Amino acid sequence: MKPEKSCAASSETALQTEHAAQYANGLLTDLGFSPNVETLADHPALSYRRSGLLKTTGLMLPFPLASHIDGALMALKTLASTAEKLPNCGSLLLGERARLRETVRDGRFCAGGYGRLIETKDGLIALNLVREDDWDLIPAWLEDYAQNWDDIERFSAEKDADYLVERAAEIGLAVAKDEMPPKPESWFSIQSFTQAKCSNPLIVDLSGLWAGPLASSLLSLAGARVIKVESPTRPDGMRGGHQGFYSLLNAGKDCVALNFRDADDLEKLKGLLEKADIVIEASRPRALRQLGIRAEDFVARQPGKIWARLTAYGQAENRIGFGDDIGISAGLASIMGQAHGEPCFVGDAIADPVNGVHLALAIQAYLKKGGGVVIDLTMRDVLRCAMGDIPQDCAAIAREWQDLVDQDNMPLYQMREPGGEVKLLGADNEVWV
Amino acid sequence: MGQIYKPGTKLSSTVCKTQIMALRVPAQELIISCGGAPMQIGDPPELGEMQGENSGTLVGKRYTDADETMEFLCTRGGEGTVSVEGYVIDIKAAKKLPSSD
Repeated sequence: MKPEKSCAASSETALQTEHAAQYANGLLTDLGFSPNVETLADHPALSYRRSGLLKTTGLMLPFPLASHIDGALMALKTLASTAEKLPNCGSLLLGERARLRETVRDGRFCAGGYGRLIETKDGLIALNLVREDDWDLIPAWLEDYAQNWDDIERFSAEKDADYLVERAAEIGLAVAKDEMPPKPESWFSIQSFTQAKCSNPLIVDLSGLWAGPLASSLLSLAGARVIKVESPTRPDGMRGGHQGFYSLLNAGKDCVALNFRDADDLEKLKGLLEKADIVIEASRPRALRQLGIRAEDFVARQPGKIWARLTAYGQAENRIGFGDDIGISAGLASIMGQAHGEPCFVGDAIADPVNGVHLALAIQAYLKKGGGVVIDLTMRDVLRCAMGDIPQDCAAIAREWQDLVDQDNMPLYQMREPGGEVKLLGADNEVWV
Repeated sequence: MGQIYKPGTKLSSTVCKTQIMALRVPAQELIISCGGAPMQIGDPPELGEMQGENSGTLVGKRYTDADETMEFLCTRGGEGTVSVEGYVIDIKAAKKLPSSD
């Protein structure tokens, strides 16, 4: 068996580029730090292949997304006080789940298997039916008795994409339009409050699935203490998924279970939040508001606190999204259409790991600056920024980069091992609440 | 004076701001009320007086009957309570999070 190699130790310097460092320095500048990353990293085509994204997608991506995530992690390492435990490279994180689960894209289905590109009257949409009872919503969404993918295709073909996206948003289905949005001005936004120094931060992570837990996991590797909070009636769904992957994202975290609908538990949650220096959440904007919890109040009450939140399409929208469909809304299918004549999903829930790394970086940066801030990341915008400027000649670059990887016989990047104990739901209730 | 509703139909209260969408409904005539008055398809203009005891509706929540034979999504919250054939419908438990996406 060939030894797997880490991306930090590449030897073929001729195939190393500055894409990662340039992106890292851009992020550091955005966050108010001086650009100080000079490390070369693998050529974008090579990191795309060696992270597993090429195999998952089946087609070359003609811009340096994988390198940019290498860069985002480099930036995080420059800001972290202890960086040794952080992963060798960022792009590795993009391919971990698909490599562990051995899933690949299947035509118009995404690698996870629940999302699919669908033709409407005026273009493609991505529909992602990840939750068991999402199928119950399909008749209401299409205003017809659709029961399977063929029905969905048939009814969608008669309707406009925008209409379907709007109805899905109202009902709470993950639907995104295939489009190529312009690059946003910024990949995060903040509201500033009073700063104060914080050395050993305690993170309360209310998020689930991939992006939020990845962010808190990276921060835990960088030295923070993390409490994962779940509802006993609605625990992190990833607990029921691939165990190795769950461990990668959640090892080393304390686990607290609180039923947000129970008045006593809700008080305990509020008490726990008071102890936190940093809160991470990815809920729909109205969800916590309906429980009487407001990010701005939390940060305003005491100096130095950080509340970091992720939404699919922004705080102003109550629209849900998951990693794969958000990828389509950021333009990935559109670019694959230009490059290969085949619009398709790229990677595996790609917006999730991309946002996880950026969220960890933003939190680490503001922690260093003294906190006192509400940080908002919009997943579509972060992914679109990480895609960078899109080249005109996508097809030519895709061919050139494919030739390059065809000659690459290096093994894929070495997979990580979970760092620390993986705890059961609510294992640390007695300690914390 | 019931009516047969299709999934996706939006109903508005005539006594408060509540608006709901039928997600799952049996194919039979139903009388759907809010705040004691029958709800109407579309956006009815005039607000009447609310009747009986009302605990309100919450936007984004799903409501179902005791046997879960039907399901409605609240697309706009209000003060009235929704009932079908005289029985109050209640908030359904939140969707289970997916084990993968």
